[in-house]
Amino acid sequence: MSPDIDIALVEACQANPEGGLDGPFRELYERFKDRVYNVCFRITGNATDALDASQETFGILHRKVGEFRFQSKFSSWVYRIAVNASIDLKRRSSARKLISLDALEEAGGPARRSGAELRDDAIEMPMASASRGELELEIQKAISRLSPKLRTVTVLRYTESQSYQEISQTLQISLGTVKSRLARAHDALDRELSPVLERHYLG
Amino acid sequence: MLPDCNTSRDRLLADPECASKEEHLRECVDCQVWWARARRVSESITSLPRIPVPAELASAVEATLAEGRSQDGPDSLVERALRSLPRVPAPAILDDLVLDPSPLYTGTTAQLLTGLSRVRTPNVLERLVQEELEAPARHRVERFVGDLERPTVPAALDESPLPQLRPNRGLRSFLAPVAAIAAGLVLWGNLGTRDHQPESIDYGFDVVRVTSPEQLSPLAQSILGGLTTGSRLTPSSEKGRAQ
Repeated sequence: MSPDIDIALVEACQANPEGGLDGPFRELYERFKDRVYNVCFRITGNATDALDASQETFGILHRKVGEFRFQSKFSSWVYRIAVNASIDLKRRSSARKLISLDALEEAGGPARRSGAELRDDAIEMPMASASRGELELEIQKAISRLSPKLRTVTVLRYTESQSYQEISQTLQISLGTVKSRLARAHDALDRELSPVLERHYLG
Repeated sequence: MLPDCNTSRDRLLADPECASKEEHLRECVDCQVWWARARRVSESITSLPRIPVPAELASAVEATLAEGRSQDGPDSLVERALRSLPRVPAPAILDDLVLDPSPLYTGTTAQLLTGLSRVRTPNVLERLVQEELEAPARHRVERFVGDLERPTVPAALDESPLPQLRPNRGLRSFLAPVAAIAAGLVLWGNLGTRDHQPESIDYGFDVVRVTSPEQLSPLAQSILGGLTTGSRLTPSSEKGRAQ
């Protein structure tokens, strides 16, 4: 990822603010779609919300790119928008799920709901790798059970391979905060994942 | 956990590559166990596959850009909500405040408040405070009683529970004028006799001033002797003499 290319693309988008996906914004979209979608997926925990959050992220990006003043890395700015869009969407989605869960329980118990969630979360994969798929699902569930702050730091650190400095810039928090959040996330994930990982690797 | 453990663990989380150079890790068994678990956790997350971007994202983004705003975005929701707010007309007093050069409108709030005339303390306040200090309980009761709401007469009172004790309406209509006439006669009589009263009241005896007991009549002297039983009478004594 070259910051120079990002700068040139941003300047091109700023020069052509009315352009859609046909103009320079298309290139920006292509450069960031994987990062944006994966951050959104890991934070929201499911494909539907990830798609909505990604769409929202690029919508905001298109509207606000003219206001970007190059005072930070453009990629940090994009990540920040994606993180915020995902957390907001997750919050709205959780509120909706609470309502629908009540309705489902009234209709016939929570078992059906968990089945629906699993279908929603599932990643299609061959039968041979079913075990690996289950483990990934457990890991994703453990990430999803973290608080939004810890989840965000974990995702940026381990799925996006950001350094502490980059996380600090992206989330606009101090290095100390990054450190403590990551340590707390590790403790929580260790409690959640150790039994799963032992079962997977040993049993 | 030793004080070094935290520092070492922070370093390891920040830079896993430095594990081989971490002296503390070689010595501390707790940290070795912790690091093994932490590495397993981080590797399990890092090994999560990249999720392929769904093909519909491009069309969804395209639709969003065509709309000119992100769908259901928090910013656009706020902007839309703000745009939908009705315009509030400027109050008429704004013209006065801006255009009127009178000092009332030109000063700051503090100046306006400072310029307000002092209200004189009412004279009665001193007396009320004095009374309050002298007998606080009594005045509190007075204030409390004074504030009590005056109850209205209930309509049921007209329907007395003992109607037999009250004169009936016919008798009342007869007695009322008779009593008025009687009162008038008494008043007239009093006024009439008052015109014929003498100027001075005749009590049936005279008051005579004497300077010595010898000037009294013999009867009066004997009565006086009996009353005083030999005490000396002073010349300044005043005695009434019945005629």
